[in-house]
Amino acid sequence: MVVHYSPPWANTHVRKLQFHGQLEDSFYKTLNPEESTQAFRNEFDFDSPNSIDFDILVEKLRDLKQGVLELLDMRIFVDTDADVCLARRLARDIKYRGRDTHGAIKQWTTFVKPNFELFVQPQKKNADILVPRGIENTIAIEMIVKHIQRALLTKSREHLETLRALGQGHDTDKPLPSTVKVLKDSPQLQLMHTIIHDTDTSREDFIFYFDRVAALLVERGMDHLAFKRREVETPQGHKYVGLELSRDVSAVVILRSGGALEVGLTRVVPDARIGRLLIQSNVRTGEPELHYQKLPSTLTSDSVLVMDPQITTGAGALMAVTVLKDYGVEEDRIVFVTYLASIVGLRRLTKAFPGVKVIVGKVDEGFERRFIDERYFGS
Amino acid sequence: MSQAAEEPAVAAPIGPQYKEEKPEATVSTPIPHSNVHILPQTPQLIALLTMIRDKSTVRGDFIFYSNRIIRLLVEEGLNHLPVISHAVTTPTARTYQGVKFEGKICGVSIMRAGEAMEQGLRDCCRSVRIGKILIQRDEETCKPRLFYDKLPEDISQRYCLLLDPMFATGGSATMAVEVLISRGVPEERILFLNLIASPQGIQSFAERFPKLRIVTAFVDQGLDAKNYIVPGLGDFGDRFYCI
Repeated sequence: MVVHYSPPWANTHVRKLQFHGQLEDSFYKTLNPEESTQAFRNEFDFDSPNSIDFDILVEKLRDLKQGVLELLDMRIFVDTDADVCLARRLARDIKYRGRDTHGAIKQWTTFVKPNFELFVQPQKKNADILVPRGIENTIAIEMIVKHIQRALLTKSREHLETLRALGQGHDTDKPLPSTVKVLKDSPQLQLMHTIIHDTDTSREDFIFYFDRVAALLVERGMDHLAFKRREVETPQGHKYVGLELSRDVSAVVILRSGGALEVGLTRVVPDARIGRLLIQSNVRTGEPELHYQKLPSTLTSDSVLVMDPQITTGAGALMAVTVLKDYGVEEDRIVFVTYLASIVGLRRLTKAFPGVKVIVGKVDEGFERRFIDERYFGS
Repeated sequence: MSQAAEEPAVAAPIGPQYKEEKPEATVSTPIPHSNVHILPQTPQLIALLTMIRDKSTVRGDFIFYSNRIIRLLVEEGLNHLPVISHAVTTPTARTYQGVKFEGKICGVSIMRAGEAMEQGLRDCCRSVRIGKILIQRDEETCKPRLFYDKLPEDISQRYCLLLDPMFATGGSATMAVEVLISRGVPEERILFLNLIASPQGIQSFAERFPKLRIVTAFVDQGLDAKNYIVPGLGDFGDRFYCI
């Protein structure tokens, strides 16, 4: 069965959206001394495409496979009367940017207005909605808001359906795929499971034993990163043919619960670069939502450990891996480290991402609610 | 046991299959004795051993990487302690059929290198009691001699984790085991934790104490004329404490 998981932003890309936010400011060319003088005389044309570094822009745009227009779900053109525009501009430039009236008007007539007519105005024909009178037009704004809310709701419903579909149709007798690596059962592991599962365990003990098992999980995860041959010489001058990691190690912690695995991580890889994703389940729908992300730029080349102590529905894990793939991390560079995982969650994750390895401390036969972070952080 | 003969190095492709071939590295010499437990030769363990064998590894890294191996040794060693079944209640009010350990343990380090393993032991067993044994080579007889020991009073009631990172001929480890047995510790309650061993040393030790369990990370190729382990990693105590 071919399975496809598509997150709510399936037809956009997290990274692309971020990039759009930076678009305008990032691509101005560095001014040379002459241009800089011009700028101070209000004679440099910031609004002309010539002031934008097109080599970089084109290169980045090529990354955006579909092109900017097609990426936009809804195109809105906000039309404001030119007199109002000029008035606002004068107020801003004189009050906040220390320019004189003459300079501000000069820039308006020589650059801003002509460029608006040349480059911005024609975009009207690409717009789905034209909003006359800008911010004063509350009726139009309300209509747009309603439309967006409806679109988001539809996406959310479709996302939940995808998640449900991924959870269905498993052959319960079929063993988990070989990409799922469960820690080898042993008396000490059983002992640690017992202490972690026991509600009577003190928080002090809980943290001690969870850190201990976390270090074992990360050690096991490291076994599935890429290694290469390395020959060394001992102090006595003997040769030894060993191994070393082929890539640096980054970790991505899924907050908040992923934080419980960080002590284990630092015991094994103290210098791992750590990225963070805050994924929360919507209390109403149960749908996971990505609230925050801060990821190291080295993800594009590092081996990546994704940390979340518990997989229940698997929705948060699916979302995290999707974000990483949007960042250009291939599945075979990802090792997902978790302590307690439900079978449904593991099936969903491995069906959607067959190349991702999953290190599991214990497979949960039932459906234990999320409790690790609550116990670990005491809140 | 001072022969210079060496077993040939055992090479095996290890680790997960990558796009390319599996890299090949030297793995532990197998030992047929059932009381010798060699840690699984995973790529990560081999990488750690590569770091601590490398003469150019600086002391801070040497300490960090050997501590990681020692923790794995302790984790494996503790698995040889017996547990009894014990039911607990989970956060969702289910009953969980688990286990617990009811005995008492203590660590015994053979000074000085063995003391380097105490941190790893404490990482897994908080507030564990630790005894010490100092054995030195007697200048006159060239035989190991017991200089000092300080052990828990009730050591005969405890499981003993005997710590010594390097096992060459095993002279001091053998004497340490004899000290423990003389204090009433049954042989089957002694666990010997070791980083790197020589094949001939570990085999005769395993035969001499058949009920004692040995957990080691790696059995090397052999010993040189001066009874140093080949390829080994140099003097563990010096590299951990001084150099």
